[in-house]
Amino acid sequence: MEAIDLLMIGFGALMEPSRLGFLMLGVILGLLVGVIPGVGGTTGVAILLPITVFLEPTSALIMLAGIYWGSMYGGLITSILFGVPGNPWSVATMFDGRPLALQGKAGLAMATGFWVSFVGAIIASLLFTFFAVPFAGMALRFGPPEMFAVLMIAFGTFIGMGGAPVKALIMIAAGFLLSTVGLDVVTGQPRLTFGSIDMLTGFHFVPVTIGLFGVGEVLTNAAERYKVQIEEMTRAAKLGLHDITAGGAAVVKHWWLAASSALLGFVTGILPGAGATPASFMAYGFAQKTSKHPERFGKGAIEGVIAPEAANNAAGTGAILPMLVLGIPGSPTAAILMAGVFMWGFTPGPRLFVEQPEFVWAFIASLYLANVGAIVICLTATPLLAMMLRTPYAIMAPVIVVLCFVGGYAIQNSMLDVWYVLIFGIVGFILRRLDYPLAPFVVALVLGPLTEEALRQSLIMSDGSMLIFVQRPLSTPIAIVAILLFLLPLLQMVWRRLRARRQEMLQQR
Amino acid sequence: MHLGAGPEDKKHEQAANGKTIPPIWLRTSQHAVEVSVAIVLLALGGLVFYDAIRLGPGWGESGPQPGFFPFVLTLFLVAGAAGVLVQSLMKPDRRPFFEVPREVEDLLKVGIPIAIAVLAVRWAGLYVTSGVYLALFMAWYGRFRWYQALAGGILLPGIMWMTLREGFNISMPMSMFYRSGILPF
Repeated sequence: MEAIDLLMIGFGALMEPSRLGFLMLGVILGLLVGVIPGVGGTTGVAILLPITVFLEPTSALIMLAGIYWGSMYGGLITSILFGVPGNPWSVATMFDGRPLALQGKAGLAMATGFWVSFVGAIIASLLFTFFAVPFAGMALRFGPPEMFAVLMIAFGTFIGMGGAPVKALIMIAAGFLLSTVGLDVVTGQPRLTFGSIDMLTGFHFVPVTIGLFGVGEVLTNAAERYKVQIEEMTRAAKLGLHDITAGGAAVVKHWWLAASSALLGFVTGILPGAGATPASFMAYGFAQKTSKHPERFGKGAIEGVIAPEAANNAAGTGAILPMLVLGIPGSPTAAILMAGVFMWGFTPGPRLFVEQPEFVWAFIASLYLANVGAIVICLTATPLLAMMLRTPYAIMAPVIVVLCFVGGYAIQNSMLDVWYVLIFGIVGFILRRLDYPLAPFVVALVLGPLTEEALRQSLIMSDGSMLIFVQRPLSTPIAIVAILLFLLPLLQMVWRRLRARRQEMLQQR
Repeated sequence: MHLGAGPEDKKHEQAANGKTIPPIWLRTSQHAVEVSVAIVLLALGGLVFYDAIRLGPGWGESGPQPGFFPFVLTLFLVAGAAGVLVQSLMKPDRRPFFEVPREVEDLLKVGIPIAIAVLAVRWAGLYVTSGVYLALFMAWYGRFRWYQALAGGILLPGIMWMTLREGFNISMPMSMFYRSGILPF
């Protein structure tokens, strides 16, 4: 097939020692940046972009790919080890990854995360290689109504997610409300700021999440230290190569979940504006909904690590597709990559495939190679990383807190955000004690602005008519799926009542 | 009519038995905290409701007005908080919020230094604060030797400096010494 021949040419261009060296360097830098909370992802890649200016295009390309992928892998390290999300798309990994670490299984969680990230990225890369053009066409027809429908699916998967339903509802409403603070997108009016200038920036989800989960976790651990100590749990667990094989085995066992999450992630990543973050939440929600043991999620179910990690890496790959093929970046991080492509004198878009095939296919080949490089480095480092949890609590706690401060400040260089970290840490502690589920809150906070913007843009397009969601060919099926998801708990309840009544009638006879 | 042991009855019981009455933070029950949180949520809901009305809670010509979403969400929030309040009043969870005194002790030992650190960052900058914080915490909570604590207090800011400042050039809050030019951090 033509695609494979071109791919081989791409690989050939990359297989030089110096270029492979740049790849590894890029991966390590990307990992470092992905690990620093709050900086991982878009900011991190943007910071490292200038390093590649001095290299010739193909080496710069492979290094940038390494950085991009390293940051995608790195975020899960702090999510699992410390409960501090390293970048936005690692928040969902944290929901089950951190409990696993608390049970002494940090090495297993990380190894599984790395393996499934690799699998997700490779599946996405294969889809990219062979189906670039049809998927790109889909990206073109994607507008606000489709975006809203997709986000409704994301919310639909989170209905019924852990905890008492009333408390989940409160958390979703609170998360949404928090996301509306600040300037209104459409009219420009300040909302919920109560006259304060500081509140105009609103609540960025990174400091809030770092506070709720990072500092909240530190406080919860402190209060429970008379019962359980993490260093003891980790010391008790054996560390070593068997974690790596166990991680691989877990991915093989749940191969269907990994593959479907990767597909979901890839499609979500292609859609402009929806990147790895919504993809990871959706995959988590779907995994919980379709699992045989949904109650295990949030307490250390390995599926809760597999689904979001497969999805976010696949989405990261998918986001590059419209960037390369159409010149429309699929996610903020892909936009940075696009800046890099411009920097080297290329113009992304349909002509690039025709005029510069060596560059394009070298880029696609770099997707595979960067992932191989990343997984090799990550898996080798896994036992060392897991050992970090053995450090005495008196050292770990301040380090985690300082990391939280760094993460909170790095987003907007605002001291107020660091205060938010502290305040939400206390709030997170209290809410956890009272069994308020934090996950719906975070999802609402992250996806809220996107959802509201999409809805209002759609309604502007349709002059106020809600029918637009079922009038467009692409959004109609998505909207129907979303509606079904919302109605599902209701339908299930009705079904169960009917069955119970039928059984009663049968027994009475 | 004996409605079950309330907090007042317990206090009298314990005083009568000659036991010392535990301090207020150990006597707080889950129920008390639940109700307080529900009330706070209701209050917040009320605040948001007020602002939503100001912005216009209805449906304008081209879709929802800016206040529409806050309005609807407030309704959900208030309904939910009222639901939680009613549920807790009907079936109060009388378990204590903190089970053993050690919990509160550890919580304060870890929490108060964090609060102090946040306050300190503004004046001492991130690097100095983190160094001092780690060193003091290691020495006091972890009972490390002074030289171990000192080593930690120098290593952490050092590593952070290399990574953040030199490596990635991400700016962090600097100390007042920096602002007056005395020290580079």
